Amino acid sequence: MNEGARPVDHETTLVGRAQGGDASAFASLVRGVGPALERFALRLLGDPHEAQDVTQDAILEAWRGIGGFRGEARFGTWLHRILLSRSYDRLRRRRPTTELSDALADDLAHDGDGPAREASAREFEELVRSRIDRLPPTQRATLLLRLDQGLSYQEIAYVLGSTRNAVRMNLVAARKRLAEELRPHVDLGGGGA
Amino acid sequence: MSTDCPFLSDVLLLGDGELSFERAVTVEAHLAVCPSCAATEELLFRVESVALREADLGAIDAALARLDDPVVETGWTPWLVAACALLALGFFAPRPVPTREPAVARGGSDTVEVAAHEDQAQETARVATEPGGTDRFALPPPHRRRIDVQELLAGETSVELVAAQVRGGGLAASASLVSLLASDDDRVRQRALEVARRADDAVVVEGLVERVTTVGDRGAWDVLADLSARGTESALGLGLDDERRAAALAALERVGTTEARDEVVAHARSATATEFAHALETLRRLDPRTALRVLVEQDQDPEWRPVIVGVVRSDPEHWLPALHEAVRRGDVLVARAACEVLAAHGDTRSTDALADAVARRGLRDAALAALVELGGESAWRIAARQVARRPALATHFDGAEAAGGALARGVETWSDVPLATLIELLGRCGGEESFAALDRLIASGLQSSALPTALARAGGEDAVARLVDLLDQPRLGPAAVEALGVLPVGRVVPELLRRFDDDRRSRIHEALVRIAGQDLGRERADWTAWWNDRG
Repeated sequence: MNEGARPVDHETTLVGRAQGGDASAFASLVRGVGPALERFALRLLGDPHEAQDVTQDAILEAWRGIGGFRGEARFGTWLHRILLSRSYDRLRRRRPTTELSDALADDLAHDGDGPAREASAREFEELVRSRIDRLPPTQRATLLLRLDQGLSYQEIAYVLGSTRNAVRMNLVAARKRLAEELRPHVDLGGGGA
Repeated sequence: MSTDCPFLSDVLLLGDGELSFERAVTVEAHLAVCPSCAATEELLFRVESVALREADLGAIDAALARLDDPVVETGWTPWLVAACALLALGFFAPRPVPTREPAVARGGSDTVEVAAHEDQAQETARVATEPGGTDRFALPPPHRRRIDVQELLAGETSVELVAAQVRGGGLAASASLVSLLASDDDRVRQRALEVARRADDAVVVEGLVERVTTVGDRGAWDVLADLSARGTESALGLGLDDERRAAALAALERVGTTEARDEVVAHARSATATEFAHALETLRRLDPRTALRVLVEQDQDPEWRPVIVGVVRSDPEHWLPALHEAVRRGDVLVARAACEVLAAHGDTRSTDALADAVARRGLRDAALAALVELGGESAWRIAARQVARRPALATHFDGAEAAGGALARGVETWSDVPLATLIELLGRCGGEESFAALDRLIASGLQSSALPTALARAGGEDAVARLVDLLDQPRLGPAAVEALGVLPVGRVVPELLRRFDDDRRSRIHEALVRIAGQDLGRERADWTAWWNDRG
């Protein structure tokens, strides 16, 4: 990612200090990405308690492993990579569950004989989130890293341990699926096909 | 959605800005001619605009609080082994015979006896050298003595002991500790700081603040930060007056640690308006990126906006480029907030940055609204083109009415946007300026069948009189009938019934059906009876 020299230098300094055992420097690095990290965990896992656990675990793992961080990515990107790995462990252990928001989608889809009723803003927001939650984990992670963190394809590939092309394919698949599932609930004015 | 369109994959990736320039141009051009792909792109824009939300799980603080946990530290195994060894030693060591003396806390090779009750501690703090506790002595009550420097330098235990003495309320001890904080002897000063960290005494805190504000003592600051982290208040909120707080901020800047920066952030978030500006200025020099985040966060509170104006205007050469960078490349939530700041406080240079941000998925609404609010010919044209390309924006985003204002200003001069498109958009955007612009176009004699519908959409009931005037015009009359049918206003019915003749029967019939919500047929008499029955 294209960043100004000053923040990068500042981050490099902090990383160096953290590698020397300076917990306050490490804390400062973490606080810089903390809100984004929590958002990512929550959107990825859906459950606040699990997200909290995973975020904490990832931070502590990062602290233990900061000595091995060679600056191949930004600190925040590296931390997301650790968090994602932890999240996958959780997701693998999960049993499939029924989405509560399915009821909302059904309600919107079958309300009356005509076409699916247009969702209100709040309903639509809820529906979007539920549909993102239902994406396969890798697609979901890819989309969230792009959307929320604004990471480049290359950076997302680093977090996922994947390739740039795979990131493209995941994004296309995720967005295509979202568009297909949400289209019945949106009035696109004159632009609809 | 058409899954066959060969452009679809690239349409789905367009907003990421990772397509080649040539490909992006091709895909943009395709969007203008493919309603299916345009609708998909628009849908994605809406989806991704609502996909984010803030989360504050408290996980960050909880994790950071555990960094000092030995099992968390890097290379924790030796710690664990050592801890096990100590536990084992403690378990198998001969137990002292219970006495009536105070409880004993162990640390290193020395042992500090700490009284079970604080008042007892003042009288009975004792030191014993291990093993056996043969070399014991009792301290006099703390108010009777000052700190003995040699004693302070004696060992780790002495730090604990002196701290207990200071905690016990001895003013002399506190005052002498403050003087030791300024000692020329590094070793004495370091020891004094260690005592201060453990003592957490008001007089000593004042002394630490003094050190920070007068000589920028980094060690003193570290202790203050540690104490404030343990407690509830910012070290800058320790009852300082304005002058001393300003001095403390300057000292923090000299100290320059991350704790110092965090302290300034905490202070800025809880400060008064005057203090905020000062704190932010300090923070900007310490860490520009964090300063920007604090600035845009604070701008979310409408009451703070005048303060933010003052801050940005005080140094636009710093803040505006920083805000521009944020909307172009900052994380989405910060970028959105930065758009709002620029909307109110930007200058002509902000237009380019906001125009770039319009292309970022998830930012389009915010950037567009900012462009409209920022104003100026260039900003309005960019906004109008965006709205022209995606008509749904006009009814979707918060700045629609303002966008209408922009369109209204450009409608008579922007030859590069088709007039019919502009008219339709004015209707969709609504608002007084849109309505007035449409009214002017009608008054100018423009014979566009899009005008009446747009006027009805923009003006609602206010458009009724104008539309009734148009009913008898040969070119605009039919469109005016349709437009009146869209408005749920009963008073247009007599006007429609009066014109219920053969030439206009079909359109007026449709309009009446929409207004009445029922179909009484194509005879004027039936509709007149219905209207009269309603009284």
